[in-house]
Amino acid sequence: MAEVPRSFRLLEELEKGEKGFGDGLCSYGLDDKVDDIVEMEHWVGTIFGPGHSVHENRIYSLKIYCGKSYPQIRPEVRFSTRIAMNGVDPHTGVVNPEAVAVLREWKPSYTLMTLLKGLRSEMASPHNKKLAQPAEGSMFDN
Amino acid sequence: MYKYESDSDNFMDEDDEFVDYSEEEHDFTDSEFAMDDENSDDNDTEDAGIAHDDRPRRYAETQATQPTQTQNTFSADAGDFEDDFYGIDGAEFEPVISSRGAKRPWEVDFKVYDPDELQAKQEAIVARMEPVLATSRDATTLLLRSYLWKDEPLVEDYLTDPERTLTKAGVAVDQTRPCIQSGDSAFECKICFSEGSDEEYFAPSCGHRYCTTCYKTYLVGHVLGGASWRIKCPTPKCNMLVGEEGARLLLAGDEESLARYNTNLTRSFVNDRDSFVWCPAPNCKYAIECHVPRSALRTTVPSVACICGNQFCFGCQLSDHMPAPCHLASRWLEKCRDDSETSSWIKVNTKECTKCKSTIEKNGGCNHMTCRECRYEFCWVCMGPWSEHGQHFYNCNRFNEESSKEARDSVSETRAQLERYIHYFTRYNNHEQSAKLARKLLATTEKNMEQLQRELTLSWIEVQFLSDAVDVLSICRSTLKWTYVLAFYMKPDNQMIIFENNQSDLEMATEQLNDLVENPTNHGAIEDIKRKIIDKTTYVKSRWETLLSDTTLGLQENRWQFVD
Amino acid sequence: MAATKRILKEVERLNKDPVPGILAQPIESNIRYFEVYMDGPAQSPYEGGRFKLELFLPEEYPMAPPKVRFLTKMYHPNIDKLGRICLDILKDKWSPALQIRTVLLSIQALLSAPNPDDPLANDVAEQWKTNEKLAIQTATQWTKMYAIPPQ
Repeated sequence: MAEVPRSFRLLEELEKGEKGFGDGLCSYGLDDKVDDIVEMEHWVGTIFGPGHSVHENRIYSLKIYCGKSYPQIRPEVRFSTRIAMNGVDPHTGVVNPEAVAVLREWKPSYTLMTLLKGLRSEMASPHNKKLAQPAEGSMFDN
Repeated sequence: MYKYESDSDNFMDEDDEFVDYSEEEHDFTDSEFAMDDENSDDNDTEDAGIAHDDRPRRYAETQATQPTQTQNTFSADAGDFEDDFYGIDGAEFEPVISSRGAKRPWEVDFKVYDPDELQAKQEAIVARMEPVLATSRDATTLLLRSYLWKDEPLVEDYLTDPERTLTKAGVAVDQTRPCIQSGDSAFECKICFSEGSDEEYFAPSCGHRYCTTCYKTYLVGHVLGGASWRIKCPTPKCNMLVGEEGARLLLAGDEESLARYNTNLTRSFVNDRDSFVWCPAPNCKYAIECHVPRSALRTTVPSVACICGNQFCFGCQLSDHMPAPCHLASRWLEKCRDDSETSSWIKVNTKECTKCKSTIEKNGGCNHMTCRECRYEFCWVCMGPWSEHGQHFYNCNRFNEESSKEARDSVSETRAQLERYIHYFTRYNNHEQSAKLARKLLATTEKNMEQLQRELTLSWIEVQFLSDAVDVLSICRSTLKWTYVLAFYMKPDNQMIIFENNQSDLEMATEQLNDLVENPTNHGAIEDIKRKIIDKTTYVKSRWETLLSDTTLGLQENRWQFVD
Repeated sequence: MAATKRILKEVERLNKDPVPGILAQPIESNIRYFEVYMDGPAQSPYEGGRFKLELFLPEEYPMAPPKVRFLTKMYHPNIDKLGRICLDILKDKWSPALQIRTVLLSIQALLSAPNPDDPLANDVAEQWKTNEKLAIQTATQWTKMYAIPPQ
């Protein structure tokens, strides 16, 4: 297999995201508020809170950073919408990569969609789904 | 599969033949092209070397409740027909045949094809056109395909300017047969850059050679993407198509790709033509040929029945919507989609008993309801007491213009519009739900039949009357459902009253039959019930025929005014 | 492997017989990944600028087209903010008989002849159609601001 360079890999992910694939429960796109978008480093993601949990009917925004060595090196993630969740810093929303499986066991074949789906299932896991949550719609200062 | 009788050596002969034809243009136009349905296809298929009897034919089985088909030509004004009606299959189109005599007014001729028959049909058309155009079989096929099988414009263009017609269609003027060769030391494949006399290459008639491996990879890629005859030479700006002969040469031995290629060819044969559609039922492999043109769809509902059992409209591929024409049916369905979310009136599946207020869910198709709590008997549609409906009086089918006027006086116009819509929708939906329940009823009926067979030692054929009755019920439900759509868009006048009387007669008879089938024990001894059901079935069927005949003719005569 | 052989030959020919105004070199670690420099064509608003592109030959190449994008910011109706290029031969008009060389020549030709009727960057195309003079002025400005001056 020819190794796909970072930029073309991300362009491919972007095009898929623009077409809105998947079940619509997770979505993502480039963060166009950033000046230098040609590098495709800054992304935004959205997760619809999983059912049968405290997150049901809530919408969560996230910021994702894909560094120069993505997808070999895992992306960095933080929640923009306030959330109480194991492995998420309650003050900054930063996701501790060692605390969530999809980042801890990151593989270069994973995509931004894999990441968001992984976080969503983490939110529905037994140790997260019943945690008391901040007011709906409140945001981290980031 | 294809037999190539001519090779490049007798190309000149073909050219001579072509000159002959152009001189005798008038002759062959008359004898071969003025095709109509009476013209048998025997000659044509025999010319093609295909024995008539070898061609598998399949006809829609006509069942008791399905429209029967005859050889008669379609009854609408022939002047309306578009090109395709007189098109290339005039001679081959041999619609479903019935021994039942004359075609009934609402029926249209159609024919069901399986994929093998579709392939045979394409081959037959090509074989017939080959001598007319005097081109190679490969070129004839490509010409026909790029003219979407419309033979008349093709012949006209070809006879006027053969070179231009070929080039425009993507067919090489020099009809050298494609071949696979090697041994050219100057050869270089522009795709993989392999070179030399050892390289085996594919040489099509446009002259752009590539190595066999690359050409095949290129072709298979397109075939897997769904393409067939529209695959072009890989050379940029070359518009020549890869013909079937070349494609089969390249794909030889690759059974999977060949099968896919054939499937794609047949798919485009159906998709490229106005007179063919695929049966829309999921996973159905059949296609239907029918020559009702688009322009006739406002006055005709071409209901066709696939071998798979799916009864649908040839014009729009929705489920059968007789007697409402396509444009009214789609308008109605769109309206229902738009209104269903905003209005709260779709509470039609549950109602309260007017007497004791307990909630009642309709679980059978009959409108004669008996409240489980208080035994009150009433009509599901109007909620009035059943006793008032009696045998003759049935006031549930029409929108009462008097009470609607009152409504308009007291409430706004939009409210009245909604009331009117609700009126028709309730009845439409009622028949839809009842039709679904009729399917359930069939299961119960079958059980009843088994019981009857056991208890009365009747033979299977003697209890067949029950399932016949259910068949008639479900087709009447479907027709009744759509009569309310027709009525919704109809402007009230005397003609509409006549229509509503027919509708009412059918509706009443249908409800009575439903009641008989659903609750047979309420109606006396078994021999009695059987006679009653058989009589009622016959009667309902005759009412159904009357209604459909009348609406079909009425639509063709512009008997009714429709809103906008 | 046939595709690799073709790529090696293409590279060899690009080196032996380079396209004037275009430099394309594979990046050492990946034979399918190219760094490209393209000079803006004469008599275009891109004249006097050297533009950087990246080009990747996917696994299916040459049956599938190469992937190309500009890395230098461009003001052009058929090139978007991410440098993606709207060009038929990079999509449905691709033919396996085309090459890296022909693709780059076509891109260079697109710089000379923008096609605002088939836009990828809608705001730029709009400007190009309503006020071509101003659009060309902006493109010239961007060339000065973002492109590399030729050596």
